[in-house]
Amino acid sequence: MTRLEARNIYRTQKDISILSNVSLPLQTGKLTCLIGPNGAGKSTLLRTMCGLDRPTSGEVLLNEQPIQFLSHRERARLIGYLPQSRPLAWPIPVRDAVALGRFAYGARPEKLSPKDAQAVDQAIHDCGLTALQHRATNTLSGGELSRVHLARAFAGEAPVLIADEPLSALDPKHQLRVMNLFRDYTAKGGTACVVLHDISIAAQFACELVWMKSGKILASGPPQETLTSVHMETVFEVQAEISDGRLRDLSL
Amino acid sequence: MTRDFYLNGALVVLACLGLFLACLLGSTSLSVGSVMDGLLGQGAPENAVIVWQIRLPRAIAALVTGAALGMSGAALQGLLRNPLAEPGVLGVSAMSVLFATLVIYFGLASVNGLALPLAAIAGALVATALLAFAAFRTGSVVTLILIGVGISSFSGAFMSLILNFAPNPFTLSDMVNWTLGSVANRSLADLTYSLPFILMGMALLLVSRNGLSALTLGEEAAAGIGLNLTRQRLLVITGAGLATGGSIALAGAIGFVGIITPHAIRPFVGHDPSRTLLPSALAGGVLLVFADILIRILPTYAELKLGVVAALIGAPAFIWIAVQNRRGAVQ
Repeated sequence: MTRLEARNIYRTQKDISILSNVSLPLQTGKLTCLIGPNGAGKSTLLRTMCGLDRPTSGEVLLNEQPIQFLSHRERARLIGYLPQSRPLAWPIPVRDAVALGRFAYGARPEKLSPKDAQAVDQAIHDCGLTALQHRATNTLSGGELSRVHLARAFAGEAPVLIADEPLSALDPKHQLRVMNLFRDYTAKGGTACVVLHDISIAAQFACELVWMKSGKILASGPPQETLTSVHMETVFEVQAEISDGRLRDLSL
Repeated sequence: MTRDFYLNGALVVLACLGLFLACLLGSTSLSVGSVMDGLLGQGAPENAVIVWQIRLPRAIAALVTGAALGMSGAALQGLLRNPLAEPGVLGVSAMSVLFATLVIYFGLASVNGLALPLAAIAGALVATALLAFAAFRTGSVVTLILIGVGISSFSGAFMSLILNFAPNPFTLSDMVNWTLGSVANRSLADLTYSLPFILMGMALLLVSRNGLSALTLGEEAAAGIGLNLTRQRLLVITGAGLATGGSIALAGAIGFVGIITPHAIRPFVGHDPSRTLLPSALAGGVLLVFADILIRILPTYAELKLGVVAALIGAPAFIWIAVQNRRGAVQ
């Protein structure tokens, strides 16, 4: 079991506080959704938990060990990361892009070991890309590209997966398909932490909702307990009607 | 995999063919037999002199220069994720030529054979380091290319100043030759000064090749999949600096080879930056060997300089690639 935990994270940049005293132990084998308005510090928290940003103070522990003690590749084999911005510099084939998810295992897209090839095939299949796998990535639609990046993240077969807005640019059907993929991943023991902007979807799929605002975690817990009109008001500054644990109506 | 093997194999065959043709053709045409004799040191001694001391070193110099520039271009394009990155466009060549010219100006080139290569490499490294520093602060490729233009202009201005103050016409013509770029009259000794640096640089670039594939995803995701960005940047910058600097010490500034060859190679290797390196080096070498043969056999009044021809062909190609890139941008 891989445990990832952020402890008392502070981060300031040019005298502006981005994260202040954030502690987030990810529940192993569960889906955690970070929600909060733009600029709440969600992406910075994710990057910090991946070991890509160093906190000003506080620490990130991976299996009780400070994350910066691990080499880049060791860390990448334990934590998969899907950033928010996903440029593709060259029109490489879909399969090669997904195969980059095996980089931490020393895989090269043009000659994958049987184990690497199997992980890549599985990720391509799971993300519904089998028919597209030999297409050049610059011929794909935004939604298809989004699934390529997701498949790339899944191909690493890391026990922890951190994704920043994996649903952006996806239509409703594919949003649900992607969320099902995360659900399957956690059902198999994976630990996922995802930033979402769609609160209804977050409430529907998350085991744990983490409400963030202005660099702080205001509340966290299962959706049944934390999805309340009070939290919607304090975190998002909107009036929400909630019944049966579902968002019914939003107004300013 | 096998496709890459055939591609590289074909390019190696072309390179060998080019080297052989270069020995064959020239002001005194040698027959195939006398070239073979010359290569093996048999037959008439003058054939051996023509082959070993004149034609082969020149052809090898063209091959090595093209290879260094082709691979440097491919690696810089991978690092900066832009098909327009190239030692010439980014001002690396200009800075390197400037440093080399300074050595000629102060008469150090004739004191020690290593002075010129070392200066050229130092210049190339200064420019790549500047660019790298800028790249990590801005992240915008347009800014980066503009900085390259700035480095080029600055080096150009300094060059003019040095030419202005040239102590005598001989130094002046020596220096002008550097700016034009040529492999004429290169000896095996010239090669031994530059070749180690070029090979070292190319070796560093080859070590960095897998990281270039990872960078296709952008720096953030590349770090996410386990790439050590600092090490990657350092390898490419040092590798491209050594290889470009070494090539400039050997041949002066020859532009656009680093941009055309990777562009031509990329579709054959699935656009994977790591697989672009080796064939780009081979293709760059082949390109310059054949271009140099063409220059030698063309009946021009004064012999054309290789760098001039490369720029005449390369600059329009650069514009064409820039226009295409605008249309097909995947960003």
